[in-house]
Amino acid sequence: MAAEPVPAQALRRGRLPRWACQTSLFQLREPAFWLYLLLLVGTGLQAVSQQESLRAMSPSGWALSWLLLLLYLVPVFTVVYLLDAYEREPLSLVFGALLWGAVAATSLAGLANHDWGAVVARLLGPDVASRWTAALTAPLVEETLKAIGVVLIYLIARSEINGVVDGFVYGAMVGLGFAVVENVFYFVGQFGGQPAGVIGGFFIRVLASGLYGHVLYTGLTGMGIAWFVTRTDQRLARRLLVAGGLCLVAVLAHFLWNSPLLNLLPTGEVTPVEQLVAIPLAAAVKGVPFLVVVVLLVALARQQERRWLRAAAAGELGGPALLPEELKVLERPGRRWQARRALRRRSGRRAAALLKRLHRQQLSLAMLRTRLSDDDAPDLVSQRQRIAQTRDALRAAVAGSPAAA
Amino acid sequence: MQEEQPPSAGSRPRRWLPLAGVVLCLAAVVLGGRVAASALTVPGPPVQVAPGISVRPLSGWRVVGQGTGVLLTRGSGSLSVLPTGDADPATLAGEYARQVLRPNAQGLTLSRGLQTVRLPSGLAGVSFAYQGTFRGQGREMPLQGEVTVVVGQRDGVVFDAWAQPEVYEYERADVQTMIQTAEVG
Repeated sequence: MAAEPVPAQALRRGRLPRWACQTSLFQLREPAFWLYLLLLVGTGLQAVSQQESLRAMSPSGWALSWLLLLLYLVPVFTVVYLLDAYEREPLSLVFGALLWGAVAATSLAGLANHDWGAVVARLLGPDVASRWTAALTAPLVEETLKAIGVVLIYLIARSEINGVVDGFVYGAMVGLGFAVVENVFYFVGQFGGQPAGVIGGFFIRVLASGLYGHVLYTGLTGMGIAWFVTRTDQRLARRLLVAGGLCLVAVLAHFLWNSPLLNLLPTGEVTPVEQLVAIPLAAAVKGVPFLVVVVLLVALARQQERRWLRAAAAGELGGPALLPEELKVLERPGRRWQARRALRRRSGRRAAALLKRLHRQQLSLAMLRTRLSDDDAPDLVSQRQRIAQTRDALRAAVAGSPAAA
Repeated sequence: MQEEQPPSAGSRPRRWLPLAGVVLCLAAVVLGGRVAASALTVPGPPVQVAPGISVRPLSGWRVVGQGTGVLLTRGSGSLSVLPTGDADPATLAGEYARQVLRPNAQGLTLSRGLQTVRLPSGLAGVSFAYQGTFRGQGREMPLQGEVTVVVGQRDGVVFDAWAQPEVYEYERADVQTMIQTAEVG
């Protein structure tokens, strides 16, 4: 089988990513890993003591805060993790990013925000500081500390960030960890810590505005970092401009969120029903435009990955391992899921499981092609054999199913 | 047959240089605020409160009252420095809350227990926080504050700092610096 040239469109948009490399967090020979570990352990002690003091303030409020935030953490984690349609990031790195946000970034931000707040108070006076410190310090301090987490993940496992979507996944995970721990602090420390206060805090900070915060800011920063490190075909100035621009947008969105500008939150005597409507609306005014921007950017990045997949699979297309109609299904996670569901209905669970395995193997084949130039490379040959075996097993499962009988 | 290798770990400078950048960036963000805040905090000449007791107002603070003690302000926040006898700091703190704060406040709440404070001179004392609505200048105003009592060799001093609740957090660093640099005989 001759390798087909990579489509020109894909080439115009930079080199194909080097997929099919799975690297774990535990890279003992990488200095970045040891710096990451040192900072995580150092700040971990502070984070544990902060959680203990919050628990001492209100044991029931603290436990309820964590319980409610798990209800936020799990679905957001799942959605972000599944965003990468073709090559999911190694879980150790994903959890590493989450931990950086939850432990190191929050602890260091606590120290730095306090000191930079004192600088703002000295320069602008306490009156201005009381209204503007959160907007002037937190966006720069927190976005930088969270971005450092993404940079460390990249330095630990360079081969894992090979597209803008990867940067979004790691950035969003850092932001998610940060948001959860920060919310526990707010629920117990600022909303009174009693169950009613915690539920009120959960409504304001998660239900009404949970879509707009740290997950998006750091997701965007992560996209910028990923663009910088993957688009080496571009001039350095352009890479810096795009990456810096994306990071700046994240900082500006955080600034707007924390500032008194466009603050439409209800004040004075407001009935609970009015609060239920007014708070989400006020949050939406500041958050929705930025959410739309990030969703569009992620959609564009996923479209680019689809083009990469087509380019990577081009050399296999039409061969026994990958048929053109299979690629159409393969390139969209929704179509893969629908195909498996239809097969499960028709031919049972085993056939659906085999189809899932076939999809995974075909994706791996395409990934392998991004780093193996020779058509007869042993890894490619054995992957094609695995696909052939799975295809045979799938045919047998379909033929032996009650529907076929 | 030629197989491309996965990306290697990189040469030494390429591994260490970005890491040095990360460390520098971290230091600038985490320690930069402290360095900048100390550079901006310039103590003025000492103001005599009583024999052996003086306080150094930071830039932006001015003396607005001087009698049995000294009242400093920078508009949004105030610090009263009152000389006292040399009793036990905890007793003095309790008396101050009973005789000065409580009669002038509605809905006064005090922090639980007393915090121990230690000045760079080695003197020890106690502090507590409070919040309530205080009467003054013909109107009532919600205030948040902190009382610190330090007793020296011969005399003691009560530092009472207050501001509106939303502002107090931003006065606190200045107040603490002025308490730390005060001279108590």
